[in-house]
Amino acid sequence: MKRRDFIKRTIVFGAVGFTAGFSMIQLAESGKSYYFRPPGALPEAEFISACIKCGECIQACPYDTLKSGSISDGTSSGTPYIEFRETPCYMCEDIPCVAACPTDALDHNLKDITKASMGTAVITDREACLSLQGIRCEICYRVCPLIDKAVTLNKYEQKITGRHTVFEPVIHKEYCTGCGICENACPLDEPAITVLPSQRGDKSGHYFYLNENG
Amino acid sequence: MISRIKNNRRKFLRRTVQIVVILILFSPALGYTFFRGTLISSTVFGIPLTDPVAAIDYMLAAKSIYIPLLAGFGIVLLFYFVVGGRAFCGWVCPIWLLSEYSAKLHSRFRIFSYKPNQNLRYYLLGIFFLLALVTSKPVFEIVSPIGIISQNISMGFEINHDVFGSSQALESGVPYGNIKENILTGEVESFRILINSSLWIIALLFLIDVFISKNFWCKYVCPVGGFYSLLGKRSPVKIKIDHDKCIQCDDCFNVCLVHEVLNDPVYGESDWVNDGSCTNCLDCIDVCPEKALNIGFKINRSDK
Repeated sequence: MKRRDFIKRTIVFGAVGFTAGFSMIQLAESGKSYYFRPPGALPEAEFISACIKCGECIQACPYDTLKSGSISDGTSSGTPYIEFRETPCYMCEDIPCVAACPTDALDHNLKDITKASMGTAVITDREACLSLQGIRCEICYRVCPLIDKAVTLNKYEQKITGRHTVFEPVIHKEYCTGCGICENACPLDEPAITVLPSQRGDKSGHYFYLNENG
Repeated sequence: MISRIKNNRRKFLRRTVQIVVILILFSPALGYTFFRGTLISSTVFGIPLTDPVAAIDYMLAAKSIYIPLLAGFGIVLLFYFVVGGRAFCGWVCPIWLLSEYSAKLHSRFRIFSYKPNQNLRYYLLGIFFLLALVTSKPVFEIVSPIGIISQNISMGFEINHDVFGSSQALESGVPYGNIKENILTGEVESFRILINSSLWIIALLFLIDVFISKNFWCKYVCPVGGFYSLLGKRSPVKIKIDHDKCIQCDDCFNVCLVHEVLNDPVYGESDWVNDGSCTNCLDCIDVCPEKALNIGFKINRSDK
């Protein structure tokens, strides 16, 4: 082949390939705005870089918690994610999904599952929450694997009758792993407690606390 | 039937291997645990295996090296270097199996036969590596039909994952699962999965293979095949031809899916099928009426 031909071909194939690739990525931006990843997953952008879509974690999960993204999930197709309302993470002590990951998309330094951070549970519907209405529900509190750490009960007088107590579930972000067992267990049709991404607060990622140093 | 197997012993063996691979991929869905993963990366009896292209893609995209990954990467690289790079295609990859049958259909149903440049896969291999580097995403792994089909097989085409998977959870006594709901809606659920399933990519490739271009993906596009071709060029296990016996009847050309590799040994001077595109599928040995072809070890590099 002539050198000129070679260069021509390289340019043509390169241009076509690059256009195809980039348009593919544009298309691939479809999918959900946020995916809840297995324990120990790197921050989303790094996770997508490091995950080779081999499905080992999905098969390693004994509870079939992890689902695999399909083509409509764009760049997340083939990657593991969790639908808490279907199956939450039951927080295995040996963390088989992390052990199965052939790359470091799931952080192999995570040895203690209670240090995982898949998200944070939040009471998203205070009006629907049975406990907040003064009904003795507290299921989210009872099922929490880190009961009395990640969820505590804030007790105060129930105003309607004046003789009962409201047991308000309060989630503590520093302990909550975002396993989603509470979201899964919420007896309402639409859960009043939902796992949300952990990164909230103001843009710097900080909260403003009263009575705290700094 | 038996005489057909006898005359095509190697092809029978190869089909068996291909089907066993699919069964192994399917085994996690049936509850066996000796195998885990897909053709992108897997663990067999505790031995890690990683597709070299996926591993390189990962290193380029994540711009980091995870040391244990190199073990699986090295094992696969060494194995396919020894048995001939594209032996992966001919003996393992389910897409190739599909494409063997679509090639048969192509001869009957073709609309036209588009033949791109055979070097396209090498360019695409480079382009995908470049894309991984530039976009920080392992782009090929997102669209890879190998990954898609093996992940679908290993999850029992996801239907199993959704319906029977939950009933296993029921037996193991997991609290608070939406078990009843899933079993009740299982059929609807699997229908939904079918609609936005990645398997459409496989179906599309199959249609292209049948109607437009014979063996389009495997022969011209697949960067994994391209990578293994480069690897297999220097591998020792190759097809050897006996020029004294060969009568140039072209039977091997008709059976071979990458018959360009036979030009040199049959009509030219070389004693070996030196082209890396050869999948070592051994079909040509079975079909040769004069037994001119055989498998051999090409130890001496200076051989033709």
